[in-house]
Amino acid sequence: MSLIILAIGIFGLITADNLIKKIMCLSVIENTIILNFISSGYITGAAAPILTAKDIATVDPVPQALMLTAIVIGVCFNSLAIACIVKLHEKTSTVLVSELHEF
Amino acid sequence: MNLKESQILETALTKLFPFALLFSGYVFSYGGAFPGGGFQAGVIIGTFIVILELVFERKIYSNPVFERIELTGILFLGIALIAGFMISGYPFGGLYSYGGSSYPLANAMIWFLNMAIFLEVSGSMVLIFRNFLFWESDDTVRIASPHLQQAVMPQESTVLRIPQTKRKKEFLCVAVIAALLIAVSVIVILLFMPAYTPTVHHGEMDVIRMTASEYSIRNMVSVVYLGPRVIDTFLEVMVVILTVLGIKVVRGSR
Repeated sequence: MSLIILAIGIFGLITADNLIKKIMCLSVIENTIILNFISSGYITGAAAPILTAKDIATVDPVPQALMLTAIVIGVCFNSLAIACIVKLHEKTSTVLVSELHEF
Repeated sequence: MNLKESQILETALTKLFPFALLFSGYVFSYGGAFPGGGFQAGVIIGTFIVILELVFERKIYSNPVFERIELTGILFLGIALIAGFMISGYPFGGLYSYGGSSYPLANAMIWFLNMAIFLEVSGSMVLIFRNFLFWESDDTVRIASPHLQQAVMPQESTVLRIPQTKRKKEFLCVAVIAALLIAVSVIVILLFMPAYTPTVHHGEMDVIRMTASEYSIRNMVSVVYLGPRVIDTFLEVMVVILTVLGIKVVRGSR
């Protein structure tokens, strides 16, 4: 499943002309990585990783702990990239890659 | 669209604000034991402040206030480092190694690290969104700056456009290359990626359970998180501060 979304993301990243669409595709790819890790720890029918009195099977907590940081860094990366694009648009009044070649 | 006209939004948000504060406080203070934590609580309160500013179209506090809130996050990191060292002889109370720290000390350290991330994220959320909302200057308030609007929906520009037929050809070429790349990468991943065992082994899961019951933490994610928590907190704080600084530099350069 995450492979399919990854393919969509890469396809969009290469074919998109608008820089903002490129950033959106990058965040799609980033989300596929998160989805891949979370789903790798998923067990069908298991509970959330919270200790209860009963001894039942729980989902693997390791990928969830890892992905917390990935989300933070993803937010920071996206905001920085969009700020750069806004600055670029102020200077060149375009965000299309095909038009940026003119400058 | 002028959101300022809406009486419903203003009244509803002012009534909801205390509940948002309460909810974020709950998520924060139970972060060690239950689902939740500093990052989640910070995002809740930060986005709520952003919504308030969107609706009322003015800043609640000035930028330096939130910058100071951010820097207080580092202070809490330092407190955790020094207090842990003074009590147990290890920086951060030996949190980074299992069994190196006693139960009450570990919980206190988690509280301090959570506090650092909470201040960091709640301050930076507001600052990052503000940089897009109030783009013009600190005094003039303009929601959704025209630069941003034009960037999302580009209008006729003065630059000569490439002829349509040439564009189609270019697009086709790039699409074929992209499809080939994706096909090759999928085949490589399917053929050569080693089979990943999804769950931790049964013994390791038992260790995690035992540690959780020993520290009386019910959230197993935070038990796994106990060791790398210090490094992770430091990393998050650094990344967030660098991002806010970077946006400031990008915005300021002429």
